[in-house]
Amino acid sequence: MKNWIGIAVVVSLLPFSAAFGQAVTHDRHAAVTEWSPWSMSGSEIQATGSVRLSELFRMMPALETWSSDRYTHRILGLGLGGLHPAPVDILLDGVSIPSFLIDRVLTESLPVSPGDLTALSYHPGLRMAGPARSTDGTIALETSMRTGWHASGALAVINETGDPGPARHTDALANNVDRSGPATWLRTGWGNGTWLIQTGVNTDLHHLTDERISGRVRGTYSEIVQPVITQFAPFAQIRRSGERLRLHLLAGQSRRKDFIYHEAAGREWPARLRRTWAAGALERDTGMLGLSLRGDASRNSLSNRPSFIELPAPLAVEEASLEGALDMSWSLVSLKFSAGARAWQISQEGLEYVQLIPTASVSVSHAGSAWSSRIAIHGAQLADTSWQSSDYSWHASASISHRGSNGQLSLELAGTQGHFPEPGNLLTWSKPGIELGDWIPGNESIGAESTPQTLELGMTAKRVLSGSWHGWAQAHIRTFNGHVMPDRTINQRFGIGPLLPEWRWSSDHAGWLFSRAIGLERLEDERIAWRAFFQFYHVSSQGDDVYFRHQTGFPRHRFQLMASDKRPGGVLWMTRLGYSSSWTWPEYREPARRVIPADITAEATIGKSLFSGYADALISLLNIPNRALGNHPAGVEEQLAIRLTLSITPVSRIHTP
Amino acid sequence: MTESIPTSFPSRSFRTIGSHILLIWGVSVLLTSPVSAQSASPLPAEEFPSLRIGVSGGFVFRESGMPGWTPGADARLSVDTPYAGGRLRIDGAYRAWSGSEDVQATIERDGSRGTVTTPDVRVVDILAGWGLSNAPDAPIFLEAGLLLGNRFMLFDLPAEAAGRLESEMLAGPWVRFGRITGPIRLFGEIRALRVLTNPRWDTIGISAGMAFEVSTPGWIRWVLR
Repeated sequence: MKNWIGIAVVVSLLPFSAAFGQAVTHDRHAAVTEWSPWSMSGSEIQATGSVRLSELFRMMPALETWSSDRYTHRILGLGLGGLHPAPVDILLDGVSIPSFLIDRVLTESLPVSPGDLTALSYHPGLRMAGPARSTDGTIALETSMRTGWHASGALAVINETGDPGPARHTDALANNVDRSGPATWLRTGWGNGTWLIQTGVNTDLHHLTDERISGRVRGTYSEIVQPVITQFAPFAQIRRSGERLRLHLLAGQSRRKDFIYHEAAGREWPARLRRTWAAGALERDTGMLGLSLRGDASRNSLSNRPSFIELPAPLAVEEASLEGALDMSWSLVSLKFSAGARAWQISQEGLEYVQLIPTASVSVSHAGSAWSSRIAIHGAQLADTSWQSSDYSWHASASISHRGSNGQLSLELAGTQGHFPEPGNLLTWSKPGIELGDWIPGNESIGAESTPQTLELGMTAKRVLSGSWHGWAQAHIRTFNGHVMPDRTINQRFGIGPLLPEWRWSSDHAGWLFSRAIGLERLEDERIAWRAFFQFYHVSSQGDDVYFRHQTGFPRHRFQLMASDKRPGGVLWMTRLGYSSSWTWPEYREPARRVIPADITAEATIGKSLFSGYADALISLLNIPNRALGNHPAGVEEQLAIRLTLSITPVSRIHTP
Repeated sequence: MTESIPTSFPSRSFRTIGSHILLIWGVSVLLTSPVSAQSASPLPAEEFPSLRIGVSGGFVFRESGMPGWTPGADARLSVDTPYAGGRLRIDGAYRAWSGSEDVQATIERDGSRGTVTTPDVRVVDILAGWGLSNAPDAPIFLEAGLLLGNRFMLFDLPAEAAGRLESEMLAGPWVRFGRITGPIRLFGEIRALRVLTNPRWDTIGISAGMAFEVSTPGWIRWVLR
């Protein structure tokens, strides 16, 4: 209860902030209004040569992702949610697109690729993304409204060096390495600046030839063929961007032949994943009054490929949400009411688990030229098909910020009380008794749980130092109380051998985590863009071993320097240098537990515009130090890799001095 | 008959020769000067005005990383054109490597050592790069640069066998020197290439041949632009 005292103090102070500053127009359409140091501009994104979102996220400043295998990614953000955080909210041009399944964001199923993006930013912190969808941060992706008929696309291959080559004929234990690609995306459509109609497709291919992965795959996959992951993801969208009326509808499907890895399983699940989805937003602005309607629906179905082990029986996860909002504004102050519902069903062999969650929320915000503030409360009722439930969950947030000529400062306070279950989360699957076969034996519910509470305080400050140089600082502290967390240990008696984790849920875990970062950036047209940051964590488990093992498992200190530029004439380049301190994967028992040494990462891309700027050819050197990635004991040995990217654009990217 | 396999690559002798090659290359780069330095304007009046086509034959002088194979002679074709103060070059080479019949394999899957027969392999290198050249009208010319590309390998294995066709990236420096006699250039070339495999596969090759110059066809000039 004491956690709420802080919220009450901030909430009671907020009305006084309305006395500051001049009135400005409320921007109802802005999806994410606050500044974030974790961002990239369009030219920075293009200079990376990335063709997959996951490639981009992995190299984005401080947007920590965790991958055991390089083809699935868990977005950890600043690490505030530990190794199993709530999903991040993917916001594409203001439309939230849920894509969370089996504890990970299905980034490659999203209807966007790096080549589409004009801006990318990550906003950490506890947030609500639609009805009863509690998220750990927001990734805002912005694309442009194309004009006229257009077609664009890109193709990339990543060839990792270090393959045995001919030596495989003389050394039977010579380790092979992965090959990735071709990964492609294609878009075509028409727009006039107000309307955009577009269709596109993303395809992907991974050859799992790395001995470490393919060795695990061979243990489950019973067909004598090369394990290859394939993905085909078409989509279509229609978008209207007007002063008074905004509309954005998207729909798509992705079909993926996959090898799903989860640390609870310790090995791959040869699965077929079919995901069909739609999302949209409609906004009407009549001046004083704003109306909006947002919704999404998706169906994820999982089936098996031939296997030596008993795999989970085919299952489907369906979910839908709809929310309507009324926004009234009077000069400085805006009042917003919204109501909606979220429903989902998990089904497996006659077993059906349904959850209905009606929600309501209210927020008050004030926007002056210098000061702005906002308070919001979101309530949800967890019900079943008979609507019988008295289980309520709450999310409250408050923020205040000041923007001056030399910089800005913002404070945020957010808290949740109660459950906000996610249908794509293994914990949710454990409740109705979804069987995961030999892949994860014993993913059993713990039964009655206490009410979890989370409270977070965040601060972001930015200041102009000199000319186009900015300095910034950010701190987030998050406390947990009464949470259910996985108690997972891996016992390899001889320090090596197959991963056979023990995994069970346990409740009432508490602790706190403090993440701080300072950084420097210079962003100026036609000059080299510089970004540097230093980030460090502090975790306190207060003696709770399960909490400690759950919340740690990544480096405490990280430094990164990134520079990119686009020269007149079309030469573009990017370089990135990073350092991560040593750490210990905490879930391993002795003697397998070992200190993972400090890691230095370096990569570089150089490219040239071709055909008067309507195409780019880029070559990237990835993992230049040629070191194994130490981000997971089950991860792969990664060598120096070379990526070749060829992209075509509808707009010439050549600019002259 | 067993063949010892070096525990580290490249071997000491290879490293010594390799360092000499790099030294020669470095000196060559220092001695050569961009074509543009000889002319009044920084770039030729017309981009990619000519193509220099060279044909040559050569052999592998030193190699490491392929203990089970013996390299044969090679045939090369190179095309280069003035670009960015130097010369842009595309290069192709073909060579056959003969497999040995009784190579002592490092480790078999069951942990024992045994004798295996390595399959013959035909190798095609496709390379592209850039280099510097001394004065184009000097009777003796010296050029040096870097090449990067892919090595395609076709092993003499049944069509359905895994790993019959492989490709790996390779890169390395080259030095070319020779004499201009009328429209023909006679040249010798030393090239050190590293294939980015594990273990690394390094070769130093020597070749000799001749080159002649032709005007660049319009469509090639359009592509190059």
